[in-house]
Amino acid sequence: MLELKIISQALAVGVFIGLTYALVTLGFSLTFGIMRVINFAHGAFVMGGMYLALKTFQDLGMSPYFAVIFAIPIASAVGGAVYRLVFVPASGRPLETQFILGLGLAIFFENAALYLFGADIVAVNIDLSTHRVAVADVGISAAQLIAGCASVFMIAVVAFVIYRTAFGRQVRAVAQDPQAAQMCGIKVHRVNMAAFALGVTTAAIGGVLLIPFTAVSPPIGLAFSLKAFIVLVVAGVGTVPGLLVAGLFLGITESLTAAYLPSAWAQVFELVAVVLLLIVRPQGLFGRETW
Amino acid sequence: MRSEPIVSATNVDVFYGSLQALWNVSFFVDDGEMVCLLGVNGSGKSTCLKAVCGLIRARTGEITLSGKRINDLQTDQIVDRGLVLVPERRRLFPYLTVKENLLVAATPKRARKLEKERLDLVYSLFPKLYERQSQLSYSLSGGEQQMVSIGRGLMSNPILLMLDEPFLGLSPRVRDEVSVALTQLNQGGLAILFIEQSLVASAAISHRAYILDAGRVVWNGSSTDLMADRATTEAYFGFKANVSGSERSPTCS
Amino acid sequence: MIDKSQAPNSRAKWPGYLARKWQIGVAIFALVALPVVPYVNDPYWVTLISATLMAAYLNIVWNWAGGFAGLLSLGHAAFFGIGGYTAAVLLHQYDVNPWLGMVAGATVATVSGAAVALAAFRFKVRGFYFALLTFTAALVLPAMVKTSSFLGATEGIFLPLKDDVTQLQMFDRRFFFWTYYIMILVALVVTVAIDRSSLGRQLRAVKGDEDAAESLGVPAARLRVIIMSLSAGFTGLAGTVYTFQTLLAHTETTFDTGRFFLVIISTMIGGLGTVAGPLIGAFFLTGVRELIDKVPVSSQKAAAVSMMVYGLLLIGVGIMFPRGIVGMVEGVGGFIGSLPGRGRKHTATVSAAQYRSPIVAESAGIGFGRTKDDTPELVVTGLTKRFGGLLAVDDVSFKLYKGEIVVLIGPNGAGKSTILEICSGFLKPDAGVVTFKGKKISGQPPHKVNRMGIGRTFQKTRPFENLTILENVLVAAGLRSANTTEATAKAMECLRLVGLVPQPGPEALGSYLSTGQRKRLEIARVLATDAGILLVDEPFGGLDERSQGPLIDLLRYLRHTGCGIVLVEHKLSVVEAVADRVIALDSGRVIQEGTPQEVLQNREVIEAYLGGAGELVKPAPNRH
Repeated sequence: MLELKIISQALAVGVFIGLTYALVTLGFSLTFGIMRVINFAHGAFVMGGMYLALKTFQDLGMSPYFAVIFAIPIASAVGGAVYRLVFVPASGRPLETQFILGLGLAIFFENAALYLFGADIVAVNIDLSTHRVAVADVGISAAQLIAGCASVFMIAVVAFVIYRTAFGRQVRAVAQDPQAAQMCGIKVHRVNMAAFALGVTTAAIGGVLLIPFTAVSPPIGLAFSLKAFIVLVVAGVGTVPGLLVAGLFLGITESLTAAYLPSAWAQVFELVAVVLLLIVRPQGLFGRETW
Repeated sequence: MRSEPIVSATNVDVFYGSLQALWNVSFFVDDGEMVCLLGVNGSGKSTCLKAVCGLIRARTGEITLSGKRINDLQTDQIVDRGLVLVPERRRLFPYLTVKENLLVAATPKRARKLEKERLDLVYSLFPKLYERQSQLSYSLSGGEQQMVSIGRGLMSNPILLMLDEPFLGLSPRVRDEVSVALTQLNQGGLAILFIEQSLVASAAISHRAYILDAGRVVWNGSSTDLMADRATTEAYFGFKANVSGSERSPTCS
Repeated sequence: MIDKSQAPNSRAKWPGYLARKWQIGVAIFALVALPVVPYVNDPYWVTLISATLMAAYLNIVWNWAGGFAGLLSLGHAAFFGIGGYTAAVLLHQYDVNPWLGMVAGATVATVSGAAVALAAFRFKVRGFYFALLTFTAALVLPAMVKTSSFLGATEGIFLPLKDDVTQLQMFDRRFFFWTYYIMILVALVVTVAIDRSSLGRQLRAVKGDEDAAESLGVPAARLRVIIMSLSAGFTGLAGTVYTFQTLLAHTETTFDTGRFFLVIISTMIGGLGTVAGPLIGAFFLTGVRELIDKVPVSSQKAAAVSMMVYGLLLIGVGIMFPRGIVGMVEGVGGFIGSLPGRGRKHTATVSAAQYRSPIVAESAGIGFGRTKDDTPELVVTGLTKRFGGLLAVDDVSFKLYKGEIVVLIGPNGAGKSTILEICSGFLKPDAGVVTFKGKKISGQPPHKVNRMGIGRTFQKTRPFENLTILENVLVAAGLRSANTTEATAKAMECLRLVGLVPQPGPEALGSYLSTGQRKRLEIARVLATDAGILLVDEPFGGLDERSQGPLIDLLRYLRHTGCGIVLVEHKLSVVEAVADRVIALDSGRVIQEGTPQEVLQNREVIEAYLGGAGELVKPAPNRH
């Protein structure tokens, strides 16, 4: 009976965290689908969102959720700048190079955080972090509930933009054939920049949603990049349902592993699971090659 | 007095790295004209079109649109000004529907307000596309894809439509359809510049032609003159050896 | 008959070759200058340079896999750790001499590298996924070590301190300097050997296009396993030395993945896939760190700042010099070479005049050593292939004799290309057998099929874009020649035969070719494999009228030399011009076989293929 309770508890937590992972991966997937860049700096933007929320809470004494108000303009600006300064000059370079750029950015941001905030692992504890929302015996914290629901909402908004608006049409056209898109008169760099900034913003919002139940330190950026990579590999590129399912997969695996094994094993277990999945389905569970 | 040509290229040199692809090439297209670039594979025809629409830079020489220099503009800015290229091998967005493919090409300012009319024009030109408007474009046949590609070019409300081998890989029937559509568009006043390998096919529909060889313009003049010029056709198209029953000109009405 | 003026080794300028030469010069200079360091008598410098040498060594051996073969391994930390732990355990538990432990560590690492590579290729894990797979290995191993008390768990294994060369230790700091120095020398010699040999060219070909390389007989999987185990073994060796230097095997230091992030970064900065780049990169990074250490901030902040600078450097190099410092220097050299008056200009375009006398070779008496006989060479029996629910090839049988051209015709999707894919080993049939000279070839991997004498071209051409035209053909020719001179002569002959020499010439890059030239390059490549049978998929697609004649002549000439050819073709004029026999297919089945006249006038064929017009028109795709 105790066993069942532990498992269902882990499942419940895993589901809501997993939805947040799906949100965090959304931007990563967009960047890969559109620019063909495995952006290993993506997790750094999640970390940025987390530190932003931390500072909002510590220095301004406000609820960390207020950080969303700052996150949207700051993340858009940072995303736009990174795109303009790094990815525009490097456009047309081979994949390896783009991979290196992502790695360079990740190293830069991680150490910038180390310089600014120090190496300490810091958590934010608010009432919502500890307030339990329970159905029968199974409960999760209110913050986790908020994170999961807000993530689904954000994903829906982005999916609407991508699939139902003229801008989204242009984004998809650029993803499928950038040169042809340019020949259709689309300002490829402008569309890319907007999409990249959108991705960075969703990552930062993901960070804000995570902070009430996840401690932050500089290396967490790379950890989130790895998570996003795993979710993307499982989902495949260009699929929103795939993203949700893969996010759930990661969240649940993580919380189940955490319930039974030392924490170092969680990552090992995920990676092994992903490698096995790759062997069975190299294109991911749902994906095709583009958005 | 001749009026200003729509597009004119003057003494253009183009390089791919250290390799020179065009040597001192000049050509122009007048209002309402249908002009063809001819030559063997690799003679530099595609490079000419790419240079005009900014996909590759001319190292020397000048390319002008209605007298204004456009050498240094980006492709999208050139499309904004009304020059559009229908690329070789169609280059559709495979996971967009036919309609999305067309609509996304109405992005330039000059076309945005006219979206509805342009869409109607394309559908009236190629009714088959209307039937297939919500199909993903990768699932279309080769001929239909070519129609979408041309339609996409038209959506940007161009003043000059450039086409890179529009007849490549088309069956005779579709070839005729496309050829008729191009002739109609031209008669409606649209200037057209296209590349074709088959001399007979292109001479039938174009007013003037340029022959490129090894990156140089080696002949230019009216299409009727070209067909009469035995020496030139033999030198550049191996006419004797290769005009066989299998290569027929499209009949246009 | 080789026209000497066109032979590449007579050319004064061959940029790639020159570039490798100066790189070797830099490496030699660095290595001659370095032995001064131990006599500077400042322990700080000796330690610093020793550490840099180890980093440089790791760069060099990582670059074999990551640079030459394109295997972006993030798992070299695992091999380093395996080497270190093997030697430590042998000494600690079994009292095995460290020198033997060193050999053992390297051996175990080599085997692990081979195992990872084999697993990757067995399951077709490539590119980023390969990086992920190796990274997994690098995370899993230390996690496992931590649970084993035999391996020292989280405490690590401490080794005794001795001052004894036979125990691979000395108090003199210079000892490890010299050890790493010798290791670098060996590694550099191996690097140059790989780069110069046909192995290096084959690796670059595999990196560029694995399928195309395999179709030319390059055993891609085996090459990758070899280079990966070589790289892993050398990395393991460094792991053993490092363990004896620090006298500790510990999960945090011996399995440190961070070290290999720096390896990747500095190799990239130096120049991925180059000879001297990894060495230059390691010293460059040390230099940068030394400079940053001069900045007066707290140590944690200094570390952060130096890493920020690395990050920015990496970005800067990635944007401006994708081929690293080596690429930057070559860029400058190339710019000087391109100044007016130096070097000659090449044209990227084709003149109709080039097509006038394509086959001079026939009279010059070039043979490919084939003999004539009358038994069928290629026998296809009952071939069947399904893709999901679609029956792509349905019980197809045919024979091909020496010196014969058989053309497969049929509407799109009739199964023609699928048959070629099966005959060349790229697909396995669901039923049926293909034999060549009595030996079964169906089910064999592509490179073996090619080695047995069957060559193929691709419908969508696949030149190695990062190699020159000559190197493209040399990939095939080098596998079958005793030495480079012979291989080059043969490659040039093949190029001349297809008309790519004298224009655009042997040193044009594969990426610069036009459609027609690419098609001819593919044929030159496949000729250089000495194939007795050619499988040629739509060589006339996208060719202009003028190019068709010479290609027809070439096919006829090859038939004359005894080559058997299976051709997939749409153009009926071509079919009539070259076919000895025609096989018409529809929906995966043979509907008619015979002479061109018989087949092309058959009612069923006309209806299936030519659209029921009862008239010979240019074939249309089957969809309308």
